[in-house]
Formats: sequence, structure tokens, C-alpha cells
Amino acid sequence: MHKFVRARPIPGTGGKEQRMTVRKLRTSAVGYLFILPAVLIIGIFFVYPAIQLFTIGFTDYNLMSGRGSQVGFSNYANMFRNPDFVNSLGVTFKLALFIVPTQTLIALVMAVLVNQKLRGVSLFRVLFFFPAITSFVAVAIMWKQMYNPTFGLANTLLQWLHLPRMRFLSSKQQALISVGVACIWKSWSYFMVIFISGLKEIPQEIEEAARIDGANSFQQFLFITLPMLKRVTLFVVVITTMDAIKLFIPAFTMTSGGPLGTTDTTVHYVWRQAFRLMQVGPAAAMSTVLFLIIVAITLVQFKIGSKENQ
Amino acid sequence: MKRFLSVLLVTLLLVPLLITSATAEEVTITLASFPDQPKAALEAAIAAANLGFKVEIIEYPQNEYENKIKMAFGAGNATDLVLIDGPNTASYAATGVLEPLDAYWAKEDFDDLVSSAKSTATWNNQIWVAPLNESNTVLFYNKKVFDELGITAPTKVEDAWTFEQLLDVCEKVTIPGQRYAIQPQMFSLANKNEGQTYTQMLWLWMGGGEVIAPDGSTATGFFDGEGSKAGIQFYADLFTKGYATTEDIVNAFETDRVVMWVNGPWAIGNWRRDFPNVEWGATPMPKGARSASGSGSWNIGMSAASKHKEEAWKVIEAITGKQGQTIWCEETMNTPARASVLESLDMYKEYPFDIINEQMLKTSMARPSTPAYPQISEALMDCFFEVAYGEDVNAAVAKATQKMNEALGNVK
Repeated sequence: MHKFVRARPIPGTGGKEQRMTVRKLRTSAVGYLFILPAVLIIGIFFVYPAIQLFTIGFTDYNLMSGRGSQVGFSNYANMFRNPDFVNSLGVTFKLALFIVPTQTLIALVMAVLVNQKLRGVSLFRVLFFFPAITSFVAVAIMWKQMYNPTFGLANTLLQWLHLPRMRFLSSKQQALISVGVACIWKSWSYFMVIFISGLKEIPQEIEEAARIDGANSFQQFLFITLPMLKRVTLFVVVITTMDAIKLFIPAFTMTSGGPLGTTDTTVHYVWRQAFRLMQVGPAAAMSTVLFLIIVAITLVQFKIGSKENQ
Repeated sequence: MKRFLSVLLVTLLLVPLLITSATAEEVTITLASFPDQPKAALEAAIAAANLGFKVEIIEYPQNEYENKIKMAFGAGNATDLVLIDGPNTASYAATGVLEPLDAYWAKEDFDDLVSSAKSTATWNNQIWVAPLNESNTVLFYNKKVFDELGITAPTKVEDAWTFEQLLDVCEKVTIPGQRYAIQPQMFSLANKNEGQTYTQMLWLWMGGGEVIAPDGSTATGFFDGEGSKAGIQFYADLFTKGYATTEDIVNAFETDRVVMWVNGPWAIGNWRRDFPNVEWGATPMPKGARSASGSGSWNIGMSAASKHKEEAWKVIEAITGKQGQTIWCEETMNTPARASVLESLDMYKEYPFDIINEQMLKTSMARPSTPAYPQISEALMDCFFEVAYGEDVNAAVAKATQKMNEALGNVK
């Protein structure tokens, strides 16, 4: 049995107020202790590296020697004159423009389908979720093998269908789409689960009322389900956009950014500058710019989302 | 009884302490490597030297090897010894992460190295690395296809095919869409690593060009010179004429999808191990405006932060000394970097090493030695990739020259 000790009032002050303050302080201290591990982890692994990254962007830091001198804003000034960096930004946005709508649409449609009360549907939910829990490196290697022009599954299927063979990853025109397809395959089911949870929250009475009013399934989906999923959709779009802009593994594992930089995402380009070519200062400046771009896009998306919600 | 128990207790406490202190004095030298450098051959060379302490070889994946060791140097936890590719020696040495080897290496023993290996090992008048072996390149061909088509390949440097003769052979052996004549670089174009630059640079040299100025100050007038452009154009034509492909064909030479392949003698070791049925032949590198073949290979460098430098040097001696290099080269089919080993082994007088020996003496060329080499290599590789995919040679060369000049301008 715990024994609670009452705080002694200090003479000359209100005893009740004093007790309240001590209690508040105790409660706050316990709260701070609870969040301390999270604050420490975020501080050590996110905030400190982010500050370091920002400061390194103004130097010509050498990763091996750990030395570097101040170069002012020259890393920032040079990056937009660098055609390879500009190309990598273009690649990243093209990839995001392909992945975000396609993946969101697939996830939404599949969520509606597996949300039906049919026999065995939960098995499909589990099966569909497998790619989401598989390592991205493993997925990228698997797709690289499937795209292999000699023995890959993709060309074998095309041959069966009497269609011409495709170059996939070694074609300037097809490589980015091929990488995008692998990315979508990996992640759509994760967002499908988020959409399912959104669907579960839609009150059945509204759907029933719509049905009584004579709305068919498509009309119900269009006028009831979609508007009720706005908040979930905003969340999915924001997260998918951030993920798409930060893509690294498929470029690294499947194509090395090639052919001719057509799949060279910004993160992959920055990584190459930093760790292959030892240009850590410019790479840090590029990362800072990419971070600011992601923040700006996310804010715009939230702004649009909140306006629509109103 | 009490006394006995006390003695037992004290003994039990002391034994682990004694063991720990004995273990602490044991020296283990660590060596960073990657799977393409056969571990068994390294271990055989080390074992033959009977060093009396432990040597641990830590392997990293080949494509990630350089990143791993650079990050390890930066984090201060590098292995005692690292394998370093020849042209990158200057970039490592310039950052101060390597221990100069001048104080350890006796001059008469260093002089046993062939001249190209000596240049690889030195930068800024100091010795930084010890060569594992030298290297050279030949044009390997599928013997079965050549025999079927009645093509005879030259075996002497003076008889090497000209660019025009090579094109004739390409035309004969190509079966459109099915079989390509040549892989003019070490790997398919899906790979980006130094092996590509090593072999692509040969075409530029054969065209009569150079990469950068001898003093390392600029690429203008060298990489964008007429000779360089002619070599790069010839390489580009191999692709546009359908003799080479940008497709990523796995084991293209071994599966008869490609008939000729520019590569080094280590390929022979790989075939013996993994593709014993491959029927191959070798011919000298073709000649354009001039003849050229590759040189420079992997070396062992010592970390400046190593706590056991004397022992680390003993490991370097064990692997790269006369005995160690003999074992290493016999196992891996690499070309020795020591003149004494080259002379002592009969296999280097026989085909195809007779071609390699002749090329090493007459046509081998070294990649530029500059701390900016990683950027130079990347710019060159990108340029060759672009022209292989049909981009304009002049535009690709101009872009690469600008990148090279920027990198050279940043060298302090």
C-alpha cells in the first residue's frame, strides 16, 4: 500500500496553491521522464545529424580525413549549375508523379475490394500484405531478376503472349517506369491497409441511407465513400509523396542510376557524391535543399487538404 | 578444508584474469578485401610466411568495397590493412589516412617491382602501397566461333589487328539480335565501377588521346583532343553498328552471346573455377593511332591509425614479397608486379602470358595519378556510357571535360 505524504504548507503562502504547484511539477516531471527516451533518440539520431548536415553544407568536408574548411554558399550556388543534380531532381519528380497517383488508386480500389464481406477475403488481405513486410532490397533484387533480358520472367511472359521482348532496365525509355512498377508493387498493400481502416470508420447508417435513397454501388463509392476518406487519402498522399521523393534503394540496387542517369534519383545522386566521390560538402547542401523541398510539398498538400476538409 | 576452499576461490578468480591479460597481448591484424580477390590465395600466402600472429581477412561486397573502407577511415575504425585500387592511391594518401611505407620497405626489394608497379605505389615522392600484382588487358575470343568461321587471331603485338581489321572480324561474327561481336569494356553497362574505366580508357589511348595533362592541371586539350575523340568515336561505333550491346546480358561471353571481350588474365582464373568448358583464345589489344594496353592493379595499404604497424608490415611482406606474390599469382592467374617472380615462373613465358608480357613491355599505359581520380574516372565512364547509348560524341566529351576540369581545380 502506497503512503501519500501531504506537502507541508510554507508559512506566508497559500497552502492549497503550494500543493497544486508541487503536484503539477511532479506530474510534469513524470511526463518528461516518459518522453525522455524518445527525445534522446530523436535528438541523437535525427536532430544532431540534421544540424551537422546543415553546417557541413557550408564546408568542403572530407569524409576520410574528417577535415574541411568553410566555403560559404558556394555549394548551394554550384548545385543548380550542376546538370546531373538538376537531372536527378527531374527524375525524382517524374517518379513521384508516376508512383503517387497510381499507388494511391490501386491501394484504394483494392481496399474497397477486400473490404467486402466475402468468404476467404481475409486470406487475400494477408497475401497482398507480403510485399509490404519484405525488405526493399530483396524486392529490388527480385524485380531486377524478373526484368533480366535473358532469363527474366517478364520477357518470358511477353514471349508466351507473342509480344515483343522489352529491354526494361537497360532502356532509357523504359527504365524509370520499370523501377516505378517495382516500387508500387512493394508499397501499395501497406496503404491498402490504411484505406481499410478508413473504410471501417465510415458509419454504415450513411451507406444504408444512400442505398434506401436509390444510390447504386458506384454512386455510393463516389458520393459517400470517397468524401468520407478524404483525411485518410490526404495522409496516404503525403506519406507516399515523401517516400517517393526519398527513393534510394531501387536506384542503387536495380540500375545504379542508369542508363544515362534516367533513374538517378536525387538521394542516390547525393549518396554517390558523398560516398563514391567524397564530395561531402556539396552532398550535404543538396540534402538540405531536398529536405526543404519535401517540407514545402508537404505543407502545400496539408494546406490543400485542410481547405477541402472545410 | 576452509583453507583449500580459499585457495580454490582465489585461483578461480585469478585464472580468468590471467587468460584475459594473455589474450590482450595477442595481435590480430585485419585486412579489408572483397570476394573478387580470392581469400584462399591471400590466406595461402600469409600461411606460408608463418607470421606467429592472427590475420583476419574481412570481405565487403565488391560494388560497396570502396565506400565501406572510406567510411571506416572517416569513423576511425579502419582495418590495419586495406586493398586499394592503383589509381585511387593518391586520393587516399592525400587525406592522410595511409601510413607511408618508405621506412619499412628496403630499397633493393622495392626495386624488384616492374616500373609501372613502382609508379602505382608512389605518389608525391613517397611509397604508399605495395602492389598485389600488375595487370594487363588482352582481347579474349571464343575459340569455337573463330575456328568455325576460319578466323585466325594474331599472337604478337606487332601483328595486332588494326581498328579496320577488328571491324571486319566484328562483321563476320555478329548474328543480329542473337550474338554480339564484342564487349569492349569489362562488365555490361549495367555496372558502374572502376573495371569499366580501366577498359574504356584503352579505346581513348588507342585512338591516340590522353585523359588529362601530365601535370594533372587540366583535361582541356587532352580528353577533348582529336585522338581521344577518335578513340571514343570508334567505341561508340561498335554499339551503333550493332557489334556491341547496351543490354545487360549475364555471363555474355561464357554463354556465347558475345564473341570477344576486353579483359585481364584474371578472367582465365575465373573460367577455370566457374566455367571450365569455355574455349577461349587471346589476342593483343587492337591498334588505332597507336597500341595501348592496361596496367595498374590492386595494392595493400596500411592504415595510419593502425596500432600494430610492425606486424601489419609483416603481413604486407608476406603477401606481396617474392614468396607471397608467387603463391598469389599462381593461384589467381594475375600478372606479377615483381620482375623476379615474372622471370621465375614458367607460365608467364607461355600463351597467353607471352602476349601479356610483350604488351606490358611495349604498350601498357597507366591511368592518371591525381587525388581527383575518383571524379575523373566517373566523368570518363559517364561519357563512354553516353556514347554507347547513341549520344553525340562531341557533346559527351565536352561535358566530361568540364567535369574533369572542375575536379582538378578543387585539388589543393
